[in-house]
Amino acid sequence: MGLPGLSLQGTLSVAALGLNAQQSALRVIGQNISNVNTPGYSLQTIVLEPLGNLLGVNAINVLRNSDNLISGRIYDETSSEKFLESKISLLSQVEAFLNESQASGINGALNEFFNSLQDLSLRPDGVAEREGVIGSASIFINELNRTARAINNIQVSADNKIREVVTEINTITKEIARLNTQALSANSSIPGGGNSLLDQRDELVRQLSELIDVRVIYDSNGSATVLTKGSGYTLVANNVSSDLSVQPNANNKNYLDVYIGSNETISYNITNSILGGELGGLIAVRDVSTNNVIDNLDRMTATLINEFNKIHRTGFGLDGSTGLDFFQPLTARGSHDVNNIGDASITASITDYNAITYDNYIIEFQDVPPLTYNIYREGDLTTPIATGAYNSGVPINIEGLSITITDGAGGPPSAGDKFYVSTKEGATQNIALNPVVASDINKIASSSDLNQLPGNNDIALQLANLIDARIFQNGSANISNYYGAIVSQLGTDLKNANMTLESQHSIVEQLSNIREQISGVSLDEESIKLMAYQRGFQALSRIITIIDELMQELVNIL
Amino acid sequence: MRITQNMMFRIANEAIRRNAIKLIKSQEQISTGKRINKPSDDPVDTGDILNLRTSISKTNQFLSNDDRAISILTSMDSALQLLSGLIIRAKSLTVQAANDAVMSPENKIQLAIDLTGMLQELIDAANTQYMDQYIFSGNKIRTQTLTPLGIQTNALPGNSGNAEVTATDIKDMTKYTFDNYTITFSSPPDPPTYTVTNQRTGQVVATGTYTSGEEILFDGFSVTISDSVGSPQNGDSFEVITDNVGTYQGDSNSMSIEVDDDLMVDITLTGDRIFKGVGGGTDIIQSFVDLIRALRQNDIDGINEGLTNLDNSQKQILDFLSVAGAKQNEVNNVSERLKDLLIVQKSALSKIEDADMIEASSEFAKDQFAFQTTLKANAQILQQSLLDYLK
Repeated sequence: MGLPGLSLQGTLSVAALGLNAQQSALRVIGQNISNVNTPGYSLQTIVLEPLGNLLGVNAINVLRNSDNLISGRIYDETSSEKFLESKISLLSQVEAFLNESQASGINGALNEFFNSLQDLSLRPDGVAEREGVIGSASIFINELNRTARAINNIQVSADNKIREVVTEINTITKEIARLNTQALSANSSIPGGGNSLLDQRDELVRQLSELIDVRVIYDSNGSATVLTKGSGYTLVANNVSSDLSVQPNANNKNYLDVYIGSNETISYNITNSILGGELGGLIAVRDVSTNNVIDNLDRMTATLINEFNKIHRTGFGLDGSTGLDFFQPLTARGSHDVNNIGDASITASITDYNAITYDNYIIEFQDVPPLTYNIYREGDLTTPIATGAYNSGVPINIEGLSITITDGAGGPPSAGDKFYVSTKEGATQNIALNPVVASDINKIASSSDLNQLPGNNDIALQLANLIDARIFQNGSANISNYYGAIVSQLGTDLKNANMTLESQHSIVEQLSNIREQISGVSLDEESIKLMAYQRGFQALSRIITIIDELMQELVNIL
Repeated sequence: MRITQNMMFRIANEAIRRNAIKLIKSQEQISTGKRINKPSDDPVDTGDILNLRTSISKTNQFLSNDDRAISILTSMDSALQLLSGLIIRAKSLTVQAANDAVMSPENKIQLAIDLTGMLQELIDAANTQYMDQYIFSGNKIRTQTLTPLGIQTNALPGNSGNAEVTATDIKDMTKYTFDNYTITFSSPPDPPTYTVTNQRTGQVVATGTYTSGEEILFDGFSVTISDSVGSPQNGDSFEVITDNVGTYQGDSNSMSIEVDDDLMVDITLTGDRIFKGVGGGTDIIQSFVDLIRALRQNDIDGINEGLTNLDNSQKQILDFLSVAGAKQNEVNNVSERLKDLLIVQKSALSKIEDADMIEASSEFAKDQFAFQTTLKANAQILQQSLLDYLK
C-alpha cells in the first residue's frame, strides 16, 4: 500500500490556503506595526494550525496578548498615583497662601501688630502710635481673612471639579458597558474580532482608574465587571452601567456628596469610601486636609481674639472709656445635623469668656429613657463630658457656654439626633475690629488705672506681651509657635505626599513596562516576522507558479 | 524579556523627567538665593524660620524701645545737669551774702532778683518735655510739672460777689516779693476805694479809687478787678498770693519701658521727689522762695538756712543724676547686648534659609551635566532600529 495519489489541484489548494494564511499573518503584523503607538494596544499574534494531514494551513485565531492581572495592578497603582497628584496640586495652592518663606504673610503681620503695641507703650497718648495700632491690626486681620477666604475658595473649586469628574466617570462607564457588549459580539462572529474593542475597553478602565479607585473582575468571555474599590458597588456589569450622582450635603457647607445607583430605587452615599483617583484626592483635600488647616487657624484666631479682649476690657482709653473689646468678640454657633429625625432647634451663647475652651462640642440624644443628651468634646466621641435629661428650652451650662435646645413644631429631638456648638468656627474668616474702637483711637485701652492717664502704659505692655503668652497647647506654645506648627504640618504633609508620589510613579512605570513586555509591539520583532512571512509568501507563490507549469504540461499531454 | 519601542521611550522619558526635576530644583535655589522656597521644601526648618523671624522682629522692637528710653533719660540728665549748675551758682553767690560784712542790703536785694531769675530757669528745666511729653510729671505726661511764677487770687468768703478779678500781671520782675497781699474795698465813698495791704508786714502798699477794669498796681504786680454784677461792696476783700509757685501738678506713678523680653526699666523720675522733697528730701523750690525772701528782708538766719538748703538741694540733684545715669547705663548695656543678639539671630536665619551659593552653583552644574548626558545617551539609543538595516 502506498499513499493515495495527491492531485496537483489538491496541492494548488494547499498553496492557496497557505497564501491566505501568510496574508492573514501579514495583516496582523501590519495591524501591530500601525498601532505601535496606540495607547493601550495589545500585541496580536496569529495562530496558524495545520488543516488535517496534508490539507494545508488555517488561521484559526488572532490572540490578544494581555495579562488581566497586570492590568488590575496598574489600575490600583494608577488610582493611588492620581489621588496623590490631585491632593498635591490642591494643597500646593493652600501652601502658597501660607508661604512664609517670604517675610510677609500672617507671621509678619502678627509681628508688626505686636510691635505697634510696644510703640504704644512708649507713648500711650501718641496719635501716630494709636493709629499705628489700628493700622497694623487691620493688616493682620486682612491677612487672616484673605487666607481663610482663599482656602474656602480652594474647597469650592475642588467641589466644582468633583461635579465635573463625576460626569466624566459616568461617560466612561457607559462607554465601557457598550464596549463590553460589542467586543463580546465581535468575538463571537470572528475569532479575535473583538481584540481592538477589548483594548479600547481596557484603556477606558485605566482612564476610569485615574478618576476613581476600582476593582475589576473579568469573566470567562472577557467581559469586565467594574466595582468601586472602597465600597464594592457595581459601576459596570457587562452591558449595564450605574451612574454616580452628586447631592449637596448641608452638614458639610452644602458641598457635594457622591452617590451611586441613582438610576435604581436606592442610591448609596459613597463619598467617604472613595480613596483613590482624582475624585478621592479632591474629596480628601476638600473635606479633610483643608478643614484641618482652617480648624487650626480658627483655634489660633479665636484664642487671640478672646485673650486680647479680656485684657483690653480691663484697661482704660484716653477718654476714660473701659470695658471695650478691641476685636469683635467671639460668639457661639449652634447648628443641628440635617439628618436629624426630630424637629428641635438649638441656640448657644457665651456666658463666661474666661471659661471657654475653643473646642467644638457634639450633642447627641439617647432615649434611655428618659430622653437624655450626651455632650462630647471634638476628638473624643466615646466619653461624654456632660450628660443630662432633656428639658425643652432649659439652658445647659457648660464650660462658659449656655446651650438651649428647644422642641420644634414637630416635637422634641429623636434618639440619635445630633447638634453642634462651636466658638471658634469662622474666626479666621470673620475676625474684625470693634468699630467703636476703630473709629475713635482714643478708646484704645493703654492704661490700667483711670487716674493714671495718660502716662500709665501697663495695659499696652500686657497686650504687647500677649505674643509671648503660652496660651496654646496646654501652656506649651505661644501664638507664633502655634502658627509655625500649622505651616510646618502642611509642609510635612506636602513633602510626604511628594515623596510618596515619586515612588508611586516608579511603581506605575515598572508595571507599565511589565505590561509592555507582554503586550507591547517591538518593531524589530515585527520586522523579522515580516521577513519570515514574506519569504513564506514568496515560496508559496513559487509553488503555485510551478504547479501551474506542471498543469500546463498535463494539458499539453492531452 | 521582550523589549519594545514603547518601553525604551518610557524609560528615556522617565530618566529625562527625573533629571529635569533635579535641575529645576537647583535652578530655583540659585535664582532665589534661598534653600527653602516653600514650606514643603523643608517643613521642620520652616518652623524654625518663622520663630527666628519673630525673634528678630522682637529684638528690633526692643532696640527701638531702648533708643526711646535712652532719649528720655538723656533729656532728664540734661535737665538735671542744668539744675545742678544753677544751684551751684546760687550757692556761691549766697555764700557772699551770708557774710553780712561783705554784702550790703541793696546788693542782697540784687541777689534776690538774680535768684528769682534762676528760680524761673529752674522751673523751666523741671518742665522739660521730650517729644511733647513732660518727663518729670510721672503718669501725667501732658500736664506741666511745676507751676510757673505767677499771681493767684482768691475772693474771700463773705464777699458780696459783685466784682471779680479779671486779670493779673507781673509788671516788674525785679520787685517780685513772694509776699501775699489783701485788697480791701471801702464804701462809701462811691465809687469805693481800695487798700492793698502786705500780709507779712501789715503795711499798706497802695490805695486808690476803684474803677472797674482798671489795673491796681503795687510792688511790681498788677491786679485788675472788674464789676460782674455791680461794684465791690464795703469790706469786700481779695487775697493776692505770689508765693504759690512751683507747685507739682504731676503724680507719683511710674512708667516702665520693656527694654528686653520681660525686662522692664522704670524710666520715671517724678518731679515731686526731685524738686519738692516728697519722701523726705528737700523742697528745692520752697528753699529758693524762702531764700529770696530772706535776702529781701536782710534776714541773716534765713540766708544761712537757705545756704544749708542749697547744699542739700545740690546733693539731692546729684543723687537723682546718678540714678538717671545708672538707668542709662543699664539700658545702654541691654541695647548693646541686643545689637549683638540681632547679629546672631540674623546669621542663624541666613544659615537655615539661604542657599550656599557655591554649593548651589556646583549642584546646578552637576545637574545640568547629568541632564545633558541623559538627553544625549537616550537620543542615541532611541535612534537605533532594525528598520535602518533592512533594505
